[in-house]
Amino acid sequence: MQNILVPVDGSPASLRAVDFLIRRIGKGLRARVHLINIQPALPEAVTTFVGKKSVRDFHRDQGKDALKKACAALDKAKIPHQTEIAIGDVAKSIAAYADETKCDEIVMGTRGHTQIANLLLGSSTTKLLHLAKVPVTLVK
Amino acid sequence: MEMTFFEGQFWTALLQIIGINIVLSGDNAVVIALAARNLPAKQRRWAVIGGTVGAVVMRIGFTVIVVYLMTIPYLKLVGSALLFWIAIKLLVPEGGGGEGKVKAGSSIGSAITTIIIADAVMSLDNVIGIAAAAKDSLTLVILGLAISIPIVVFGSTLMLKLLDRYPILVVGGGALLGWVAGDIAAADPAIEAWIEPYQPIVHYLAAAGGAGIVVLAGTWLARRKEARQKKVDIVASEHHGVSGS
Repeated sequence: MQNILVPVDGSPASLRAVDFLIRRIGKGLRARVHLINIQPALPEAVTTFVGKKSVRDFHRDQGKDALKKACAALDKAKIPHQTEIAIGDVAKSIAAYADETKCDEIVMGTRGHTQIANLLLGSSTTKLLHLAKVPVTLVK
Repeated sequence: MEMTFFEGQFWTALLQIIGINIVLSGDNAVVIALAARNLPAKQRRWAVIGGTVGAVVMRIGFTVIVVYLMTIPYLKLVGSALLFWIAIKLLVPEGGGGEGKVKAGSSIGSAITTIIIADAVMSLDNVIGIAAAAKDSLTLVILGLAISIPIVVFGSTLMLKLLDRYPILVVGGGALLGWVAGDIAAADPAIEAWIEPYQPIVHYLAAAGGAGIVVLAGTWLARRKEARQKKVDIVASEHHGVSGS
């Protein structure tokens, strides 16, 4: 049984990655699916004023919202899965989670920027490729 | 001296103000949504309305005070130093899930108070930025305020998400604030007198130098801070079995 991690931000690209994994599982791949959503940390000024619990509840709500469609797709395909919502830098958190839970593969969608746009915008995908210690499958 | 619509300077300053609002108003918008979230739905609406109105009034008051203060010799230098700090802080990533020292409001009154106090503290950066970029143009100050208010009222997490998705905006915002900081330092009456013979080149050098310092110092500090964060900070973890509907 392989542990496969799919970062999900609710975007069409991330859902394509989920669909791709569902198809692979349909073809006989035996995998334990982990979905992870990363929420950007709120500015310190905000967290100082509203209290830790509100901040974490807020992140949880936003994360659940982003994961909703991906969970529905997996539920429909009757594939059990684990969801995680984390706060922090996207690439770093994904790489750290993959490390901690000994994931065998990361499957993620890319928005398919051109190289120039990528260079200019600096993508979290590029950063993750640099940080990840396991194979990363990119779904376009 | 009042700038007019027909001068290129006016439009450059206006673009700067819009940029500053985009990078600095996002946090204010979020605090409004967060402070009221523990309240029942009906009260939440009133807390948001009350808090927003209070925040807007405070912001207008602050702007008037800061714009006046900036005309006093040496205080432009203080404003410039504060802007440098704000700019560098913008580039350094934030910590984890918050160590809130102030309790979230569980009554409508405390939610409104939280929104107003938080906005007062957090709008200072915005107000200093606007006042600095507007130079001494009252038209620009008013336009800057007018642009920042809808971002605070309707922006919610949109701006933060935008900044998170495109980190280049944060670097650009930092550079912009550094540019404005260098620019107003050179425009302080105390400094202006002795750089007068070398104008306008010194002015541009100060601005470009300000932008450069912020980007270099900010990215260096950001790298250093990021290197220290190793673990993943999970807020929620759930297992979805097959039997569930």
